[in-house]
Amino acid sequence: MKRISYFILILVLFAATACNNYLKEEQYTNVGYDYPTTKVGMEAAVTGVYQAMRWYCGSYNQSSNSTSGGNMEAYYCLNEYGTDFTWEGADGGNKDPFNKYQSSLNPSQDVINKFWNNNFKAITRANTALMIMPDVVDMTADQKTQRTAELQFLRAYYYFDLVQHYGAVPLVIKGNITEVITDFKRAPVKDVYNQIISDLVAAYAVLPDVYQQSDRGRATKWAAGHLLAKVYLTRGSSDLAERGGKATDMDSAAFYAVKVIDSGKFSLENNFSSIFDQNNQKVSKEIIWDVEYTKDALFSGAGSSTSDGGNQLHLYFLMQYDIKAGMIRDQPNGRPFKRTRVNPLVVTKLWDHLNDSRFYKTFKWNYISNNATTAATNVWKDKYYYIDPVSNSEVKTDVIYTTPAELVGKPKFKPGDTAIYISSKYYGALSYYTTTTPKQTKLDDVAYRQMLTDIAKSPYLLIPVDKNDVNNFPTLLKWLDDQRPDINYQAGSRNFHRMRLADTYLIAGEAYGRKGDWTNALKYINIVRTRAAYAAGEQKPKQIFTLDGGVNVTTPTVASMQVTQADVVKPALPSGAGFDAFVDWMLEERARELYGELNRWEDLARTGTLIARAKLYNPDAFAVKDFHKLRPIPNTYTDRLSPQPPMAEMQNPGYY
Amino acid sequence: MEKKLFKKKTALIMKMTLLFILFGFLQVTAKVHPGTNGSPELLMANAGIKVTGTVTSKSDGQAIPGVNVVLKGTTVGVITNIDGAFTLEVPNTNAVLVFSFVGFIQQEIKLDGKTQLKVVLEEENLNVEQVVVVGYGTVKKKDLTGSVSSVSNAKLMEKASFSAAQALQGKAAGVVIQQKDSKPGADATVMIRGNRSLKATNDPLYVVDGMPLVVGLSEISQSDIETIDILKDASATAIYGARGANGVVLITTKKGKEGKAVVDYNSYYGVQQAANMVDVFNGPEWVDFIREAYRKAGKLPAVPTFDTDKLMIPVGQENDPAGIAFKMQSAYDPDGSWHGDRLQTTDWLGEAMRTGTITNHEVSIRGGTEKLKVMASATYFDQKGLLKTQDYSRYSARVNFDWNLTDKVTIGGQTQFSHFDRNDGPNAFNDVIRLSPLANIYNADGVMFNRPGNDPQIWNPLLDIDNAKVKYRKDRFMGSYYAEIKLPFDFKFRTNFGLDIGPYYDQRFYGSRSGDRQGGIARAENGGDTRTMFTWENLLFWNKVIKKHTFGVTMLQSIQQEKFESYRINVLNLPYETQLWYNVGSAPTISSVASNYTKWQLASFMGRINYSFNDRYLLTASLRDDGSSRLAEGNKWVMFPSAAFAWRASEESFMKGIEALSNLKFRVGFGVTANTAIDPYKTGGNLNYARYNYGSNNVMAFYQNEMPNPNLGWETTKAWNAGVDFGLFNGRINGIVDVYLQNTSDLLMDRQLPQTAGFNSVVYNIGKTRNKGIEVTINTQNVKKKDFSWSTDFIFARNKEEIVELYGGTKDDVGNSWFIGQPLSVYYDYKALGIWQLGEETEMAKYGTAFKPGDIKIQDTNGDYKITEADRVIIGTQRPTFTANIANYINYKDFDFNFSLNGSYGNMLNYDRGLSFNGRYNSIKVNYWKVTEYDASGNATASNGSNEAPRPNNGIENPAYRSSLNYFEASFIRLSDVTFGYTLPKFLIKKVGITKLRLYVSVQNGFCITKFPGTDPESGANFNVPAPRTFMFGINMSL
Repeated sequence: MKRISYFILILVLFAATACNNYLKEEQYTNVGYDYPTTKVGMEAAVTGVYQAMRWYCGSYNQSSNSTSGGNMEAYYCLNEYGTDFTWEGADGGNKDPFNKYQSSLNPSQDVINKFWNNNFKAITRANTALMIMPDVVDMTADQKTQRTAELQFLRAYYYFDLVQHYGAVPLVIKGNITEVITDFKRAPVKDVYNQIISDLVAAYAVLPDVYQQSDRGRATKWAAGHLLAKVYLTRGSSDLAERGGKATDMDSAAFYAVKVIDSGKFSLENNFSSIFDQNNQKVSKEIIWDVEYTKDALFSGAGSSTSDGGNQLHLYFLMQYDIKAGMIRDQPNGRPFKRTRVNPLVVTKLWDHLNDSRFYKTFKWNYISNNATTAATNVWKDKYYYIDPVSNSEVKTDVIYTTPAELVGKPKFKPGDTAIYISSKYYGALSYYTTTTPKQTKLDDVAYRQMLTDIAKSPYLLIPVDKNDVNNFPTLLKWLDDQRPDINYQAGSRNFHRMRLADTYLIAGEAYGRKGDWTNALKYINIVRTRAAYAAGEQKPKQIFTLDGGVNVTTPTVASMQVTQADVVKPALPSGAGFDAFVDWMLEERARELYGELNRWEDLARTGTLIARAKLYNPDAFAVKDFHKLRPIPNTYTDRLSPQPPMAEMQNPGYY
Repeated sequence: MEKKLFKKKTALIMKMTLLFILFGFLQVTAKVHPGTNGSPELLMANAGIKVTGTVTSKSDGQAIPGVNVVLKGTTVGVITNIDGAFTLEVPNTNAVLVFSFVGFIQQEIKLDGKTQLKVVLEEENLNVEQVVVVGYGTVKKKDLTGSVSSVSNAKLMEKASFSAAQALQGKAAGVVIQQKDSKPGADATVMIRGNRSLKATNDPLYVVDGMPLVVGLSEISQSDIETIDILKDASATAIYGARGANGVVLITTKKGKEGKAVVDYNSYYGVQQAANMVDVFNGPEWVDFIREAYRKAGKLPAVPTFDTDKLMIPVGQENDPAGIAFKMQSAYDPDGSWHGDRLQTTDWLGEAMRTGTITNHEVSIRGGTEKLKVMASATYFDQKGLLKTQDYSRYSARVNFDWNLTDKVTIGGQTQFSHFDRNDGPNAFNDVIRLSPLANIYNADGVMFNRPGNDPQIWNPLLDIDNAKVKYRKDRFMGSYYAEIKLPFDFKFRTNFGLDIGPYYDQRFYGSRSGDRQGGIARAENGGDTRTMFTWENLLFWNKVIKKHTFGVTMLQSIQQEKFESYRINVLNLPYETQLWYNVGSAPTISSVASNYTKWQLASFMGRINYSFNDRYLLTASLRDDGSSRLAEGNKWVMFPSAAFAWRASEESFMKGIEALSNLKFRVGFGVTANTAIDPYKTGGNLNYARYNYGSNNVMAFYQNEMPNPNLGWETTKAWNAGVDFGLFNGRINGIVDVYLQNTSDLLMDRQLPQTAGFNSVVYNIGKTRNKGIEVTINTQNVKKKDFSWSTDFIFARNKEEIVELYGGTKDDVGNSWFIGQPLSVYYDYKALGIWQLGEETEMAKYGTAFKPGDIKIQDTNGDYKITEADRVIIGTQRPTFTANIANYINYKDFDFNFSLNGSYGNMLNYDRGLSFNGRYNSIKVNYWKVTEYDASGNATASNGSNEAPRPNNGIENPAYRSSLNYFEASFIRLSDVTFGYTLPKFLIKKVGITKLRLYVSVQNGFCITKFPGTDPESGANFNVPAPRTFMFGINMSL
């Protein structure tokens, strides 16, 4: 039995000598910083900078693996709320401070923090990639030049968004992955603009004209050109001293915009609706640059902890159609989060209802009944009474409408009929409903009775502008996504249009207009308006001849849509004192073309009209103060600075 | 100030202890006792008077075979036979006989002329002779130098528990066991002497028969455990070096015994009900509640009518007989009067819940020969939870053996296989709270509504019972094997090999009608992981007694490796819902897919010396050197020293005279340990990935995720412990008191960086924490008579944990709620002072328009009449000021009765009642602020004056500062267990071959006295599955 002992001892000794390298860390799954020194790794690092673009309309931190969870709802808060033409809808946790400029719009606000973090994440990713680029062994010089230019474009893009919202921000343009740095100072706004312009000019010089489909979504020369035009326009629009605006900025803006327009690579869609046709999104020639999405759930960011949640913009601009009689939530109609609603004044007045096709093409006006159960129980009552607008109760002595006897007790409509009709008509009967003044006052009893009668007589649910509220309003069509696999699926696959040619025309128009070159200004503006008109032979929507006093003809409205120098200083909505008429008209035209495309807040901030216009047109934003033209610097950033600069250097005024 | 005071106090205690030790040392130098070291060889007596007798056990009156009967002062003796009888010849009738047997108190009997003896031996109870398992060996309890709590199987089996961890609750001072989750199969958390780490785990290290486990001990059956020894102070845990900072729980499983096979069978069955439920508003209360919310928003008049009520209901539902509006109309008489009592209240929870059941069967067989001893056992456990979607079942089988191959060589091992199966379906509680009590569950055809009450935001949570499945399964193999060889010159060599391998499956299915899909396409997840760990230890022991010097030397070389592999795929759009997650390949859409692999290794050397002089002065010193693959090159090896000294004062001759004192020992120790807070691959930094597409081209994105940080090191804890063990009145009172001070430094934290640095945070060794406390354990034998005995265990522990330093300085980290001088987890928030009342308008006006009567009144800490972040204060901590436990054991003839109370004082809980006050969803029933009278113009003139909850408001989703109402004191006293048992008399059961049969009934969680308003002050932090009260019936049987 001694043999057993020896055997064990020998085994032990043998094994003990065999583990020299025992403590070496073996890495199989970890991807390290040497990866970007290869071509494939560098390509992935560049893509990492593009990928941060998806934050704008996705979710930030997907909390679960569920394809329906984890929505951040950031970008409409930043760029639609608190403006003139978008009001807030019913639901949502992030909304109030942004629309109402309440005290909770402060340095600890979550969206404020995450917007900052996302963009600096992207910028430092770009810096790291730029730092490693020279070390990449298997890329040609041309490939390096091109990717470098893309990174510069992206860095400029992220900085441009930051500077518009936060004002002075730290200029970080060097890569760093080894040093713990906590000492940052904000660079003056004009330095940030200079950096943006220098990056873009460099990118513009070398980026290619156009890509194959397999590279669609990368920055082109023309994307850089469009952005340059916008940056110059912004710098020169207001606060010139602060932004370092130059007298030549409008020339530069017009120059680059016209370069893009004249490049021959782009053209306007014939029909306004085609721009947002989802089947058209990867081929449309109007699109200059998009944040890309795919229907492949694995790559659209549908479902893992590191993914971005797809494009979720389809959720925010919808009315609550799904609980109405005869309706049930379904895929084509979308999932109504009802976060934003259009200002009712805009519905009534902004567009030329008769001639501007963009009005009826921007919104959804009716819903077709898709729920037999509730359609069947929604029957005609024998009488409809006057409703007291104060108590909202029926006055049984005051019959508004008596239903023909043969209809009483019968369903008002069948599945397949119209169940809800959002009318573009404003009776002038009631004041507007806002979240801060939910009690609507009666303005005119005759109009009110007419409205009640029309509603009572309608077989469908009639919602005129007077009855618009946080749940009931025209739904924005632009971001609806009916190609999602199911009705509750949030990770949408719509491309996020960031630059389209119509915007380039409007930039050119505004730049020339500001210079006083009306010939060119009107030329470019009218090109956009020509497309906006009803084309010859185009069937016009029914509302035009039922509500708006038009006639049912298919004659074009191109001529009526042309504007002259006299027109572009006459805004459609009542304007405020001291407003620049052309700027106001231009902002209205931009809204007519670009409503809901998540650029409104920036447009207003750019033109220095944010405070005045929000006060004038958004009753919920009454608390807006001058300092709100900049966002607070997030305290998760300022708290971590060491050494700590004085508060006045770290934070924007008004927020400390 | 306070810190200094404590330092002074600690220093004083330590000085006193040292003085004591010194004093004792001086006393002893001269006097030397004649020792009885070593065991006497048993020889037959030569001639003289014949003494006969029997030896029986006090507890059950059974004969004890194998008792040593020795003539005192000689080596002459015999062993009792199978009937407990003995015959011994003694030289004279004044001789003294010594009776000893393992597990019993030694007894000396003077013959005084008698030649017939009936000896009754008493079982040891927390006796100083008990053997305690310490790391890499055992010592007699009397020789312990560190702070170790030892819990025997007898103690564990006193009550029927759902898990070994739960059985440990209240059995060891300084060990806090909390069942934070009442779901079936949820593990209890075990915390030893507070928390010290902000980032790393604060779980102790579990070691089963020498083998460190990957994760806790939930799969180990209570009745398989011989003892649990908990190493608490660093002098004891330092031999576990890099893994010892949170204490070590050593589990020794039962071994086979020489002799006839003994079969034990333990079983219980119990039913479970919610011990305490939280109410939600019922039908009429809900209507009042939402009306108040609409009134606050100015949308409803003081006196409601059906027309105005309709405003609160989704449009277009008036005519739906299942709709809420229809029901509300029925509560109106034609004259417009309201009769809320007519409204039904749907019992949503009643539909989601059931009576839980719990079943347990454990059978074991032990036996063996001199050469081969075997223990084999099997366990089946099953629990049906209070929620219909949750259950848990587990089975396990175990074989332990020890085989003496030769005189010199022994091999042995323990092997356990276990499997559990757990359904953790969606928790209906989360959603049920929001449902209107007026909404129906089923339509007229008995089909569940998708959206009860037509609320578009609420999917019927009861649909999840049949349409969502979350299933976890785990196979676990645990084995540890050893060979032990006796070598010349008192050396002994032992090699241990341990394995812990556990494939784990996490599979989920959400059908179209589940809450997750809400009518969309079904999805499934199929994932899992496998942990594989092995440990190999080689130990060399040298034990030597040289006169009064006893040496014990232990040397260890060991390696350990853990591999972790995981995988997961999520798919959408299953062709058939019935296939659950079993055929993910048939789904057209993959929404995510991932896998991972990590591996780390640890290599260690350890040496320990135990030295005792004259059985009184005990010294233990150890040094461990750990090398870890997780640390960067050049920083891999770290040393962990420890030393402890103990003085058994009661052995001193000058103490022998003190009758009342049967045992007195002083201990003091110091040690260094560490915590494994660094995950593998941390030091090199890494990139993370995301997915993107250019046009139709799918591509990968990689971006910087973690910064390389080659300087990372362990978190180390330096700890002092001083203790005294005492026994009074012949062991009738035994006590242990320990005081300790633990300083943890190089604390690993995520150092928060400004995002402009390129990283949001970096793991860094920055910061210090401190734990100090006192632990008292007292066991008393209150009554000790033939037919009646009563003993009491009392445990008290107080621990103060605090953060000493952060980021190398004394700046608080508000973002993480880390404050210098405060425990690791505190609640930092706005402090609610109540509700603004009518009549306080002048005061309110000072805050501008921020507050209205009925809003939450917040403490304006800095008095600037603005509520800003600066007004937040530390509201409380989750850590109790102290915990205490009293257990009583009463035996009367064949009946036994025991009960234990445990309590905790001074802790606070964040209990989010989800007060959704927008007049849409239902809520936990609270006394909300309500206007009771209006004047003619509709202005509020009187209210109910509630200070508990604000006025509901339809305009706002959540009341401002809602979270300030979430903090509640969670001190409690709980009757955690009452057991009443009856052991059938021997004569009844002997005929059928049963040696012991005990039947018992037991109530777990009998009552809980607390001010905490939720379901349970330990597990009720949210509106969640309530803690159950269990009524059980059980049986313990031996064959």
